[in-house]
Amino acid sequence: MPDVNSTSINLTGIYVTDNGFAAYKALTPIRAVTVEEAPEDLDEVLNGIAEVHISFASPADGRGFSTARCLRDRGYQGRVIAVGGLVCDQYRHARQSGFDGVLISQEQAAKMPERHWLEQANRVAVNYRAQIYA
Amino acid sequence: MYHYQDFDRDFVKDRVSEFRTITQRRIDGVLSEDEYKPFRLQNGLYLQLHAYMLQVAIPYGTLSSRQMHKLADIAERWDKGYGHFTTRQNIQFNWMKLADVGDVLEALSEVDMHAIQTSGNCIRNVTADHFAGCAPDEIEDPRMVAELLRQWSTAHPEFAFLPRKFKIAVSGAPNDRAVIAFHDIGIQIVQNRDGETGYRILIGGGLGRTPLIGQELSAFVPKADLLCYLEAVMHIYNRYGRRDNKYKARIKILVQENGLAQTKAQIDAYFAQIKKTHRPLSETLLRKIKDDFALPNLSKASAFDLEAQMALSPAFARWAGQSVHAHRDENHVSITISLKKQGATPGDASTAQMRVMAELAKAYAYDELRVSHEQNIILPHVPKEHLLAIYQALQEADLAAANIGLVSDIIACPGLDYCSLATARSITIAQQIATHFEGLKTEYDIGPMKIKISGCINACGHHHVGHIGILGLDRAGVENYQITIGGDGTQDAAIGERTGPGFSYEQIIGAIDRIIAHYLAKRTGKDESFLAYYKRVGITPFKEVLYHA
Amino acid sequence: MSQSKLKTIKGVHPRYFAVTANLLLTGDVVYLSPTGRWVWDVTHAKQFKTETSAEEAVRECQSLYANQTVGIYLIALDEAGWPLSTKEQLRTKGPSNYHHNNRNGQQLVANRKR
Ligand code: SF4
Repeated sequence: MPDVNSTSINLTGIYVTDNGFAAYKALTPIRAVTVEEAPEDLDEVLNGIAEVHISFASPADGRGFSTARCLRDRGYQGRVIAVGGLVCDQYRHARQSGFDGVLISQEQAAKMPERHWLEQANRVAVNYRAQIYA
Repeated sequence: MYHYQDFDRDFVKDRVSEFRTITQRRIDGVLSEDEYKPFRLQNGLYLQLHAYMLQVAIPYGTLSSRQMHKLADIAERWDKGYGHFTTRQNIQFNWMKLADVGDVLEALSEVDMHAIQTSGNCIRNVTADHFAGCAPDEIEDPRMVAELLRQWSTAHPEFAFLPRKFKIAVSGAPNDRAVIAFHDIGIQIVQNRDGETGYRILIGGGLGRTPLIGQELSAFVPKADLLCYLEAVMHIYNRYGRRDNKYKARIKILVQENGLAQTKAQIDAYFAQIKKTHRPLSETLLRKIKDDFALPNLSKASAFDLEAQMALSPAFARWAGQSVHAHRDENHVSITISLKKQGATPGDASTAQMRVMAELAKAYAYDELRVSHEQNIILPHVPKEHLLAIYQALQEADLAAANIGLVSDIIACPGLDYCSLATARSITIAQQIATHFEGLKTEYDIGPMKIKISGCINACGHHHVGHIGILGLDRAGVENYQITIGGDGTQDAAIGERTGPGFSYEQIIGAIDRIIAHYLAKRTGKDESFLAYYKRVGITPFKEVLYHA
Repeated sequence: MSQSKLKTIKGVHPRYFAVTANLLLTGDVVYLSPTGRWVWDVTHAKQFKTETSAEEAVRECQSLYANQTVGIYLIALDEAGWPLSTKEQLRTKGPSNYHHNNRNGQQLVANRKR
């Protein structure tokens, strides 16, 4: 199992958060967690890791949401970033599943401009959980 | 029934405006079809053979008269004057224009309805027993938990991009009228030895290409744990469900390939992990749901003598004999309105018919209607004294077919007449079977019979659980129909057995006729139902009459 | 590939091919005409003599009309220029359970053929 493996990690692009676009600045050390890995096995590996990248192969493959959720369940407190194939309507899903933001490429940004992401950022707070749970 | 709160209403309105914005981007050419399609599907909008089809969610099939009126208005203004009630207790409109759909969704939102999550790889509309709240054998109204599940599953961030669609059904009674054994998750409300109410959970049932009966995942989940437990089920499915082959992507295949024990162990482990931090359910919400689903204030006894009235009019007696069901209150009954008049399209109602049903519910039945998965409409609470008036109004609206539970009460999916996935027609087969037996005047003699027809392997018409199931396939451009016998969607769940090679469009009615004629000739008597006869003799005699006659 | 399905349908070899799609805004079933427009009546569709030429037209339409239409593909026609498969016949005529035909009320076409 690779530990701090920065070779396969994308360190450029635009970082999207609730505030919109910003130049991406990594927090190190970084660890990429794949959707095939079981977060249950990573407690030790992630000890001291400042930033986790979880990659989405395509917008239809929602495994990354569960990976992030499970990491958070297990108490991981660092920054968690979604990379790869997400589209802007999935921003709310990412944020509500435990991601801090989404790292996108210049081409993605050209196709999905900042205002589209901000529209969805406004929806992050809209969630049935507030009504269902005490 | 559940009354929307501000949050529900704001949520639905926001989705309408999101739909308008993103659809405009598609119309302006900013989004390609590939980019737009997943979004439109999440909002229940399909492109079918002739037009767009909008599938509107009717949570657990419950409607008020105001909502039914709105569906009629939509059918009249934006469709061709009819709608199709589906086996998911939803309604679909077959003739939508993309440019109108924003307005249709807006109209729906005015009556607290929407089309969200009626398609796509997410948790779909939760279904429940159509006699919920009125069945004498019920432990608890299943719609209370179904409503909680509706809220939990709507826009759930983690489970919107599952390997495949996910269907949940709930039954509140030992007699299963919600087909729970054939859902990804089936929930049965049960009582444990201490008299505490909780849930028995079935997993991995389903129809389609690989029909499987659900297995017991847990014999008893306490009420307070249900959402947390289902989160664990969904989480494990989302992580481990197959994504390499869409025919193997349902949770039933995960359970089949890994075994129930391993799946259960994974679910239990994750459940243990999240239970520690899972927030308790809101008491305010639970109380509201309980109040919203309380029985209406039922009227007191009246002098109506149903037996005497039936003796007076044979036509009324025939209708009441099929359509009237016992209610937990002795002065009340439940009524099934047949959308299966012989020769009509199963599940279709015209604008005028929807309005008549809405008015009847309002005038006589505490303002409530249900859609059954068998594609009929139910008036759940009806004071007996109004039966005659209701019957007469139904007659005038051409809704008084006295065929509930009989050979012409057929489930049929839209099939090749509408559906872009279809391999053969199903509606016209249903129409022909119904008129055939009506002509023979054998419907009552045949007795209880469930024929179910699907226009392709996806099995929306539930053919595997039909006493007689018909599956329409395509053989080099020609429609071909396979028959199964002995399916059962109740608590005695069984998957129908295939008789053998299929029949052409021209031959299939004759084949069904031979099956039924054989049963009529060989049964021990009228009290041996078709299903009982099949269980006694097996498939062989049917094969004989089908292939060696 | 899906084209191989068109080799024979109901035991009949396709005589012609046509290009079909649904209109983006309405969902209507349409066919490519000889003048490069989309028409509702299949009997006014451009009839391609070979599958290859129809495939080429499909590709061309996909780049030209991706924002006016959805799902462009080719279908097989018989001698009389009528779709061969039951599915395509239904798409042309509208559903067979009602008599309203499809949205454009193509009773003319339907009546001529059934
Ligand atoms: S069973 Fe097939 S044909 Fe019928 S509605 Fe479902 S997908 Fe369409």
